[in-house]
This record gives sequence, C-alpha cells and structure tokens, in this order.
Amino acid sequence: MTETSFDKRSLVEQIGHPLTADASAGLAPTGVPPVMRMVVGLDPAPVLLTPTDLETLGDPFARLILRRDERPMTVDALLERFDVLSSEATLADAAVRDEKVFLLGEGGQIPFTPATAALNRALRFVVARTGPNDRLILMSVDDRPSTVTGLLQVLSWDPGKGAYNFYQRRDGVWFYSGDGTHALEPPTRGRGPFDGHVNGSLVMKELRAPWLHWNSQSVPIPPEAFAPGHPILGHRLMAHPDGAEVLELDIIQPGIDRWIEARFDRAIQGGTLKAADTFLRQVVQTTTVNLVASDREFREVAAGVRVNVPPEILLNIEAWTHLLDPLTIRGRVQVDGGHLLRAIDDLGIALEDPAAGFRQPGEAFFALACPSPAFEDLSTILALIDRGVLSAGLVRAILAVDFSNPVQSSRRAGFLRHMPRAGALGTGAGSCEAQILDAFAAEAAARPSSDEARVLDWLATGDDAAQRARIGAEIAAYYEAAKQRMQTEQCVRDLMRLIVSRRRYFRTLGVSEFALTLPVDALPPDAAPVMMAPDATIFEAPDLVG
Amino acid sequence: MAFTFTATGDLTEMNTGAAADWHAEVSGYFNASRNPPPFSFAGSRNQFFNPADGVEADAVEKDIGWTAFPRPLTISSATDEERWFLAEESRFEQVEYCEWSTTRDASGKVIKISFTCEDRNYFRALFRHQPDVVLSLYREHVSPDVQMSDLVDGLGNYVPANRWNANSSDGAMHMIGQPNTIGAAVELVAGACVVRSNPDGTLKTGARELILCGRYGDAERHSDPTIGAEVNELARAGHVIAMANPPQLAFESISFSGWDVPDGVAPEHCWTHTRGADGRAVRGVLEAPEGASFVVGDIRINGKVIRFGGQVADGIRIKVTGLAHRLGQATIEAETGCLGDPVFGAAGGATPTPTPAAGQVNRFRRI
Repeated sequence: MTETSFDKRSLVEQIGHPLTADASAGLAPTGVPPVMRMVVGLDPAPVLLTPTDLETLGDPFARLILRRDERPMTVDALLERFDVLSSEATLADAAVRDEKVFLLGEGGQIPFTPATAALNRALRFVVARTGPNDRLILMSVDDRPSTVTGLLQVLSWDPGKGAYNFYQRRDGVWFYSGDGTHALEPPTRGRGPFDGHVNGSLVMKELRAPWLHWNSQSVPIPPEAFAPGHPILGHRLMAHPDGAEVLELDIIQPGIDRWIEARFDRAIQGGTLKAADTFLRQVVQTTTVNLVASDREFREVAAGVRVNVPPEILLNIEAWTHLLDPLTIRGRVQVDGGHLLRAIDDLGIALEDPAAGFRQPGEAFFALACPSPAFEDLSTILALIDRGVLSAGLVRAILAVDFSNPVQSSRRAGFLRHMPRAGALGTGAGSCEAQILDAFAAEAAARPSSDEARVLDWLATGDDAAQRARIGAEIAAYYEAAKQRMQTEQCVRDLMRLIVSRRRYFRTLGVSEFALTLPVDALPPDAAPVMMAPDATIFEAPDLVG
Repeated sequence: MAFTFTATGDLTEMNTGAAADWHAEVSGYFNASRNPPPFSFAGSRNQFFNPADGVEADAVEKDIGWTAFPRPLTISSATDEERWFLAEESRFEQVEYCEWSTTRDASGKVIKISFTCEDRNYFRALFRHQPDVVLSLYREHVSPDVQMSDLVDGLGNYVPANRWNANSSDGAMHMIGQPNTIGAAVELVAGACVVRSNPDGTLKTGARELILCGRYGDAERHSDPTIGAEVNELARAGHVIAMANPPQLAFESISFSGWDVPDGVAPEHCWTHTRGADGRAVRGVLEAPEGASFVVGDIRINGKVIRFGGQVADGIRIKVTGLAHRLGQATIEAETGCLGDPVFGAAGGATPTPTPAAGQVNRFRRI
C-alpha cells in the first residue's frame, strides 16, 4: 500500500481542528471525528463524508467501524474493536473473527547491530481479518501499534460494489481513498493508492517463493531484527506470525481473482465487454510486476555452487504453463556461483540505503531478485479466455511475440493501439477478437514483416494443438539455449546486466517504495536498458518501455 | 502419575502391549537425541528434554507448520506441471512428512487421493502385537483385497513398503520415505535446540544458516529448516524444548482457495480426515461425496483440473507441535562453530569436542 499526499491546510479547514490527534487514546477524545474522502484525481481537497455517504460503503471495515461511529485510531484499538464487534450477534453478517498476521521488512534479514541501528528496515505487518462469504479486511501497519501516527492502511472487500475500498489513517483522521474501480480510468488511474495498486487489486510484490522480504517458510524474520527491548516483541502481532506462503495462497491470490471476476461481471453486459481496453492492456502491457528471486540465499553463493535462475526472468512461465502442452518447458537454468559473484562485483551491485549511510555489497537476501510478470495480469489473461473474450490461440500468439522479454516488451505494448474499447464476446463480427484480428490484418498488409503479421502467421499454423506445438518448440529451444549459454561467465554477466536493467525499471514504478527492496548498481545513470533475444543473448534497447 | 506417550493422532487401536511398546519406542527417540552426535561443535543439548522425564507447569505448546509439497522438486522444476508430475512418480520424492497415493479410473481420471503423515514405526509396533488390526486398517483405508501375506516378509515381519504401500498409485497406508519418521523429527528438534553464533558474536537466526551449520536435517526441504528455525527461536529465548505429546506429524490445514467443485459443492465436503483426532489428524482423503455426479478429476484448482496429488499437496500444511517449559530459565551455551568444523588449537566451541567414542551415533540424523 502506498501513502497518499494531500494538502493538510485544506484538511484543517474541513474538519475544524488541527491535525494532531490526541495521542493518549485509541479512540477519538471528543465527539466523533469525521471520516474524510480524498480520492486523488477527483477531490482537490478532502471532502467530509456524510452518514449517507458512509452508508454506500459496504465492506466489513465500514460496517463494523466507520458506519457505527467507531473511530479507533490505533492498531491496538482497531483490533480490539474487531474482536469485540465480531462477536456481537447483531453484527454477525459483518464479523471478521479470524486473524492472521504476516511480517515483512526489506531489512528483515539484516541483523540489528549498533552499526545498522539507523537503518530503515521497513518492518511492518499485514493483518488479515476474515469471515465467511469472502469477508476480508487487510491492514498494513508498522511496528508501533499503540500510536496514532505511522502506517495504518486498510483494504476491505465491498461485496456490493465488487471492489476493494481503500482507507488510511492520517493525522488522526480516517480517510476513504477510493475503491478499486478508481484504478482503472483517468483521472484517478495511477494516482493516490493506485500508483501501487495499479489495477485496483491487492498487492503482494513478492508473491511467490522464496517470498523475498517476508517472514516465510523460506526464511523467518527473527525477533532479533527488531531493536533489543522493542515493545513489539511482546505484542500480539509478534505472537506467531504466519508465513508468507499462507498469505499468497489463502488471501492474495484468491483476493486478486475475486476482484478480476467482479470486474468482468460488471463490464460484461448483454454479451458485450465494456471498457475492454482496460482488460486487454493487461495482455500486452506490463501494467505492474511481481518480484521473483532465486531460492538460493546470496550468502551461500560461491564458486561451484549452482544457483537456480528464476524461470520468470526468462519467460512468462506461469502463462506458458497454461497455454502450452504440459512439460514443454522442463528443468532449471542454473549458473555457477563464482560466475555470479564476479558479475555482481563487476556491476557494482549492492544493497544501499543512502539515508542511513548503509551500503552492503552484493545481492538482496536471496540472489537474482528481479521484476517478473504480475499475477494480476496473468489472472486477467486467463479470465479473458474463460469468459470467451479472447481465444487461447490469439492470446498464445500475442504472448509469443518477444516471448524472451516477459516484462517491459515495447513490441507487445505496441499492440495496445489495436485493442478495442468494447466488443462482443466470442469470435463473431463485432467481437473483441474479430476487431483485434482485423486491425492486425490491416497492419500486416501494410507491413508484412510486422509483429502483427507474425501473430497471424502463428494463428494460421493449423489447429490449436499444432499452434501449441509450434510455439512450444520455439520457446523450449530458447529455454534450452539459455541453459547452455548460462554456463559461461560472460553470459552470466549478461544475465545480471539484464536483471540490473529490469531493477532500474522497477524503481520507476509506484510499487517501488523502499531503498532496500532491490539492490542498486554502479552503471552510469544513463546506461541503456537491455533486453533478451530469442537466442538467449542480450542487446541494448534504448527505447524500451519504462 | 507415570507419563505415557500416547499414540499418534490420539488413536486408540493399540492394546496395552502395543501402547507400552510404542511409548518405549518414542521415549527412546528422545533419550537418543539427548546425546549430541560425535562431531566437533555438536553443541550441548541441555535445552532439549524428554517429556517422559516430567513437564513443568509453565509449559507451552507451539505448532510449527509447512507446505506438504516437496520443495526439492519445486526448486528443480521449471513449471507447476513438471513438479506435480515428478512428485507423482515416486513416494520417495515426497519428503515433507506427507505422502500420497492417487487412485484413477480406467481412463486415468483421478477419483481419490489419500494423504498420510503416519509413521511406519507406529505400524511396526502395532503389527508386533496386533497384526490383524494392521490388516484390517489396510483393508479399510487402502483396499479390501489386501492379504496378510502381502504385508510380511518370509519371516513374518511387517514390510512397510509392501505392495499396497510402495508407490503413489496403489495405496498409501503410512509414510515410507527414509526421512519421514517421528524419530527424525525428534532428532531435528534436538539438533535445533543448540544455539549457534556467528564469528562476530551475533546469533544465527536464519532457517538455512542454522540447518547448514547444525546439520540436523535437509536444508532443501520446507519442513526441516522451518522446524529448526522455530525451535531455535525458542532456544534463543532460553526455553527448554521437546515435542508435545503425542509426538507426531499431523495435518495442520488444507486450503481450498481457488477450488472450483462441480455442482456448487463446497470443497470441504470432498475432504475427510479419516484417522486421528481433531487437530491431530494423520490421514486425509479427497474424494467426491457419495452420490455426487463428479469425481476428483472434475475439480479445478486455480483453473486446472486435478490430475495430480501434488496440486492438492500445494495447499496442505503439515505440522509438528513443539513443547517448551522452564521458560527463559535455560543457560544458553552458544556454539561458535558448525557441526563437523575442524577444530584449531584448544578452542572447541562452547562445549568440549567429543571423541567419537564418547557419543552415540544417532539413528535419526538427516544430514
């Protein structure tokens, strides 16, 4: 979750008192403080939400707290109110009795010593309160749960809207920052919380194993990550945090799927998909990213140690798992640890937090951390097929363009201009698929060597099985070439150079919030981005997306 | 009152003789694991104890869980399809204290998947006293066609990896993989009770650095490093540690997120714990409810029909339950080296380096 900036003077005028809340109490001291709305892009200044406005918010956070004039201002007070209110019979249909706590921190694996005491480890918790019927309140909080300042952001599923509502506590006031639909269209797209929650969904950047930065079954964040005697060490949040693998499987992945299904339910009317481009862009663009990393801890990397390269760096592996025949892609690309260490040294890679004067040469806790295709894009792609908007064949052919660059592909992004604003389901006249194919055909006629022509050629391969086999053969050949090439020191350096390029791209995204999320490099600031060719070599691409 | 280790899952099928045998077996695990292995920097195991020797009133329990799908296959495979396929090839690949067998119809469609986290030594003990009970368990849970002659060798001894319990397609009564035993888990807990320090004096806290240093298990699994890290955290807090009674592996949970079951049936209605008490279940079966119009192979998880047991194992969590008492009262003797490191000069870490003759070779080390 990302913090939203706004003009505090406007807030003072709106709510009639200074923005410094009474820090001594969890509940607001006098009266019932207002709830404000600040949807960046729509509201030039905070707007007071009336009781009628609040009634339109149907998520359990609003129903248990805001609509009942509850105003807990600390995490402790909030959790206590959830506990109490969830056991009240009259609120059973909003109750969120189950609690799971997850811990993360970009500096969670850096031991607390006098030398690192000033480092911002960004240690924080995600607290999930859940109940029947997909009831969900997800909170992002820092390590000061008894205070009225600091990080306290809330996402809560509104079943009536079919969207997540976004809230945050700022300066002693609860703010409603919009819902997921605001992420999809201007003037709110990419603004406020939606610079990180780009498509209005839940965000867990490090969604897959080894869950870099998270307390998980790959590596715990130990109590020693906190300063000795830190009050959080005896707090309920630290009693037994669950592993990130549970958050991935039980909360985030189904939460993203739920949102995407709701988007389709809303957008499909009378057999036509409205706002089709907001879905289709997730096929051709890198709307956001997840972060993957090797299963190998960097401190174990040494000459002779084989280091697994995350396949997501080389391919949109999860998409291809759905779109190609089983077992088309097999085994792991591995590099030698000695080669990797020399590449890391050569490129000046280090974890760095300039604000704390911290610099640690080398990789993050797990090696080869890198942006990868986002699960929310994959989920949208699969839903487009399931809903009959696009055929698997067309999706396969589009993703096969520049397949060696699973993110940041300017060639696939170029297809965006062919994506219709609306279209019927299926493949008949007026369908999204037919409109796209018509546009591709026009482009191919004008430019026979274009990527559009290539897509049409793949589609003309034969039946679906033949197309799967043809594209699968190309991709398998690339993957095997990568396995072979990565055995040389130069190619490992190339791989690391590619990863450096993608890390730089990541730092331009709203989802990049902390200095220690990914390592930095010592290349010149204007070093050209690089891409991967289908023969597993790299090349510079000055006009790359991002 | 005399302490007795109860049967895994609180099962009640053992007669008095079998129960006593099992108690002795389990107590033996703890006693054996109190002895550090005969290598340098093994460390004192003064923070590990046998619950049979008594448990203080301040005792607390802690569940430690992990994913049932074998991590070694995950990190060697490019795709989900590949790892699921490989896990189905052999029970001996299923190394996270959970094994399964997939029953298919003539067309290869999945109709039932049986998961077990039961210990083969429990069945050995049971068989020594009540062979007919073991046979009836096989007939109830694996196949009515099982014969006593299928379960024994030429001397009449029970064969854990018999024809009805040897692979991932003909049935799974209990675990057969070499590391998948309670004894191994006890030894793992014991090894993880050794607090270990870095050269700069800070304590090791990472799951892998601890297991690579203490060599109490396989660093490439989910289970061993996770158990080790959580136990070691208890040790660093100064507690004295064991496994709770009954010492066992158990099903912690199964996630049905992303499941799509035909006819609107709740996935919970397809999953049954068929052995073990609530919270201590040792066997789980996935099968369509009686009278259903579908089979397991019609269920989808994250859009993919179930073709492999591994798809389900991805959502299963297995657990051990740790036990700590004398909270914060232990003297922590941080070991400065790693197990088996060469010893230079007179320094041998916090504890003297044992000679090979001084310690007993532990039966359950998993290095």
